[in-house]
Amino acid sequence: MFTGPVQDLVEELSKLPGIGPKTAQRLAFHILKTEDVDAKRLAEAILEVKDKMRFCGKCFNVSTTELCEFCSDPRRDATLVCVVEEPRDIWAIEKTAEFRGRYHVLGGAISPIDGIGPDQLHISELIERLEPDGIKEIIVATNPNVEGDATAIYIARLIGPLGVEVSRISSGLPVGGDLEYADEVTLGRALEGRRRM
Amino acid sequence: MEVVSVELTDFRNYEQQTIGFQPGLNLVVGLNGQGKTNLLEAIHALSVMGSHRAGQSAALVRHGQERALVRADGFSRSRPVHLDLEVKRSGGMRMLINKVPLERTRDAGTALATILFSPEDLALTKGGPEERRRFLDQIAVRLRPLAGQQRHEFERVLRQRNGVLKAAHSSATALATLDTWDEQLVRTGAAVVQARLDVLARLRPTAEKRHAEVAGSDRVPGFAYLAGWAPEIPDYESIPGLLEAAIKSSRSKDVERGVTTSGPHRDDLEIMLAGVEARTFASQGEQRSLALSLRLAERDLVAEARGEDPILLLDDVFSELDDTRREKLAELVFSSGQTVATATATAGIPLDAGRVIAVDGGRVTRDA
Ligand SMILES: Nc1ncnc2c1ncn2[C@@H]1O[C@H](COP(=O)(O)OP(=O)(O)OP(=O)(O)O)[C@@H](O)[C@H]1O
Ligand SMILES: [Mg+2]
Ligand SMILES: [Zn+2]
Repeated sequence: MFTGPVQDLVEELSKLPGIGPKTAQRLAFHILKTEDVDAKRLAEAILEVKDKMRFCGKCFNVSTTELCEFCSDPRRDATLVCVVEEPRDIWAIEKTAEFRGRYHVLGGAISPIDGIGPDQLHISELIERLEPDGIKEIIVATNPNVEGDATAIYIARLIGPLGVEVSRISSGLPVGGDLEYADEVTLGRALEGRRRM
Repeated sequence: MEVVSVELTDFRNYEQQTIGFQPGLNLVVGLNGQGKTNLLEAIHALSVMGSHRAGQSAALVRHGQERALVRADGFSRSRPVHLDLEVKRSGGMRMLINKVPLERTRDAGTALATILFSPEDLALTKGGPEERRRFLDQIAVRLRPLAGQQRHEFERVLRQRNGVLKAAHSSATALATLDTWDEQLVRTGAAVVQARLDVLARLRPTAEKRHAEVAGSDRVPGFAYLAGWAPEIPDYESIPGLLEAAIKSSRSKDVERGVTTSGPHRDDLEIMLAGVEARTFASQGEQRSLALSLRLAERDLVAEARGEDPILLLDDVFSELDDTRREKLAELVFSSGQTVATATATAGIPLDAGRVIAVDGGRVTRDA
C-alpha cells in the first residue's frame, strides 16, 4: 500500500467503473510521471464536465443547458419517444439519421442482482412526461439482452394500458454482409423474429 | 474424420512427443500414471478447447513450463486439416485451424469433433440431476448453436429472478418486476425444455439400440424426462402454459425461501434399467454400460448431424465390463470410425486389427 496523495489517487481511480485496484495503480503512476501541463489538463477536463455539463431536466441526456438539444428542438416530433439505457445510445441512434422523435434515458436497465429496480431508473419521469408532452408512441431501444428485455417488458406493461403504443426495436442481421457469414446465433435469432410479408 | 498425427509439447507429462494414429481402433496401453488419459485429453481439447477434468487450463501445462502446444494433422470431410492449440499457464487457449485463428470457442468442433467417454461419465447414471441436464444441454448445442444462447439466457433470467426474491425480504418494492422476470423465465425456460426434449427424442432410440448391442437385450433401459413442474408434457406447445402455471403457483413459496423452487433448472433425465431406477438399483458395471450407451448415442447423433463419424475417445472403458460386454464393445468400435481407447493392458481386449501405442512416463515406447 502507498500513503498520502498517491494512495488517495489510487482509491479515487478504483471507484471508476471497470477499473480494478491494479489498473488504478498503473494509472496513478502514469499520472505521476506525466508532465505538469498534461495532468492539469486532465484535472480541468474533469472539473469542466462537472461544472458545465448536466443531465437534461426532461430526458436525462447529457446537456449544457436545462433542456438538451433534442428536447429543445421544435422540429423533433414530441409525440414519439425513443427510450434508451444510456446517453451514448442516443448518439448511436442519431448516427442512423432515421429517427425524428425525442429521447428518454433510463440510466441503465433493470438488474436485481446489481440492485437496480425501476426506482433506480428514470421510469417514473417517463410516465410523468406522457400527458404533458402528448406522447403517442414509445420505442424501447434497450440492449438486446436479458436485462434490456426485462426493462422493455416492464415498461410495456406499465405504459401499454395508458393508451400509448409501445414497440421494441428488433435485433437482426448485419446489413450489407452475406448471409453465410452471419454467426449462427444471430441468424437463428433473426429466423425466430421473422416478419410476415 | 480422423486424426493422423498429434504432436505434444509440454502438455501434462509429455515433454515432446509425436504420436501417429491409424483409422479404426488405436489402443493406448501403459501402467497407471504414464499418460494415457493425458493423451486423450489432448485430442479432446482440439475439439472443445477445454478439458473434461481440469477446471483451469493451466493444469494442462507441464510443471515448470509456461505453455503447452498440441499440434495435429488429420482429415475432416476428406480434406486435410491442421490444428494448432496453445495453452498458456497464465490462462486461456488459442487455436488455429489451418493456420487461421479461431474467433469463437464454440466453433472449435467445426474441424475435429470428438466424443469422450471417461470414468467420470459414471456420474451420468450415478450422479445428481445436474450432470444429466448438462449432458442434454451440451448435445443440444452441438446440434443447434442457438440452444447455447437460449440456455445462457435462461440461467441469467433465473439469477435475476432469484435476485428479486432475495431482495423481497428487505425491500417492499423489489417484487414490482417479478411478473417481468416470470414472463422471461417462461419464455427462455420453455426454449431450454424444448431443446432437451428434442435431444431426448432423437437420443432415446439410439441409446436403447446401443445398450442392447453392448449389454444384450434381456434388461431393457428406459429414458424419461422428469419435470417437477409438470407431471406430463403432452407436446411442445403446452410447455409455456404448464411452466407459467407452475411458477405462478409456487410464487409464495419462492418469495418465502428467496429462490426459484420449480422450473427447468430442477429437471432430470430419469434412467431406468429393467423397470427400476438405475441410479439406486443398477450395479456398477450396469451403470457404466448405461452411461456408455448414452455417450455412444451422442456419437451417433453427432455423426448424423455432421454427415461423418466423430472421433471416439474411450478412457478406461474396458476395465469394468465383463468379457461379453468388452467383446461387444470392441465389435461396435470397429464400425464407428476412428477410436482411441486406453487400457492398462492389452490382455482381455479383443484386438484383431488395431494399432497399439504403449506409453511410459510421457513417452511412446512402442507404436505398432
Ligand atoms: N501439468 C502436469 N505436468 C506434469 N505432469 C503432469 C501434469 N498433469 C498431470 N501430470 C502427470 O501425468 C501422469 C499421467 O497422468 P494420466 O492421467 O495420463 O495417467 P494414466 O496413464 O491415464 O493413468 P491411469 O491408468 O491411472 O488412468 C500423472 O502421474 C500426473 O502426475
Ligand atoms: Mg487414466
Ligand atoms: Zn432532453
